[in-house]
Amino acid sequence: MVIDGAALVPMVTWGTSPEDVIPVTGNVPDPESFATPDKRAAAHRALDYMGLTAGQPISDAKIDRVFIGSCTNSRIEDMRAAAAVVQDAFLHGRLVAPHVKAMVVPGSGLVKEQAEAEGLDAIFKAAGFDWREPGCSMCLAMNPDKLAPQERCASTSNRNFEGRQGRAGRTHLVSPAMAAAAAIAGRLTDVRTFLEETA
Amino acid sequence: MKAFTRLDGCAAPLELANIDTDQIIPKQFLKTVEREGLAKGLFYDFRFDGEGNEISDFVLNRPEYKNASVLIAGDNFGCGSSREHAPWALMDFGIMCVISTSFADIFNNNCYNNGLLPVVVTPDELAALMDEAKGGNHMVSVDLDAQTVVSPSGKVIRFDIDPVRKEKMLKGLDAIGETLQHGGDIDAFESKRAISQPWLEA
Repeated sequence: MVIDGAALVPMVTWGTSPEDVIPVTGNVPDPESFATPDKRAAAHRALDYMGLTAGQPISDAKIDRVFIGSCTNSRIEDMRAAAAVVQDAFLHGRLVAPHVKAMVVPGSGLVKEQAEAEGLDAIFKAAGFDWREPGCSMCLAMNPDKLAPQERCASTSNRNFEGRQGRAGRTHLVSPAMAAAAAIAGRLTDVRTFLEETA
Repeated sequence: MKAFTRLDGCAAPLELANIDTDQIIPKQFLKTVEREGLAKGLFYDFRFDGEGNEISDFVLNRPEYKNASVLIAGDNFGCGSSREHAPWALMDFGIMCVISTSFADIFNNNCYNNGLLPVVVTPDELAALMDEAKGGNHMVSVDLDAQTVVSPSGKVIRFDIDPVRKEKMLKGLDAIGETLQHGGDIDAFESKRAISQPWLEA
């Protein structure tokens, strides 16, 4: 058996549960397309909460915030993956989109040290990211790092429940590389092609 | 832990599936390891608006359900972050039993370890209970020994429960309590080991 990982399209969440995922090239599902009444009700509620319309391309979703962090997705290899995207964009003259507030929160003190030793912090800062101290930060919004109501965020954490990143905040779970691309494009976008598409 | 034997009380219908622990008790209330006082955070974003005013039509804010001790909720209750504060908050509010068609695993374990009874019924039974609880009479009886829930109209619903867990709930034993039941054996073992393997003593 051969599994071609490279053929996988990057995934993003459209709803309020980590299972609510589609490829970034896909469209927001129609709640009526779900099999059970519970799932249909949950999908209607999720679209309402997320401010999305059934059938719209998910890459239309304009974002306000980017959070690269959480214990789940801010290991050193995650920092490197995100920084590689940012560096490439930077060399093409691209920075964090003007309407986006983006931050990078290393997963631990050791990750932060390592990332700084590799110069990754300089890449993020040069492109307009906030380089932060390690901590939980906007994964669960226990400190002032939180979304304002209706703010839309591309986040590398692993929970997108209602209110998780701040009351009425809208979370799209993505990979670190996808979050970096979203910060620069200003919307959800395919990290593999966004430099050409959003130039 | 307090034993759970039988509960006669008001049942509140919460007709939502996939209620996660962030909804049960949002993170801003987690800066404590005390089990008391968490009721104020229970379902906070459902019960209060952005200004902290009560949302009057949320089920637990309605006068007839304010002292509910049973919650009837949609499928997959308690999913999301591992958070023992979730059963603590429910219990601090006075809810000692949640009835649903399924519970998320960690939440389910946390319930048993704190004396809150999670009751699993079929989708049809849940729908019927939900409808009855929405009516004028919301009083239900939950009998753990008999493994039954009696609905407001007197309909008897039988539920399954792991026999070991049932026994522990009936006796009010959490994992520590269960271990301490063997305190004599543990002490005897440790005394013997202190002599036979003295190098293991700290």
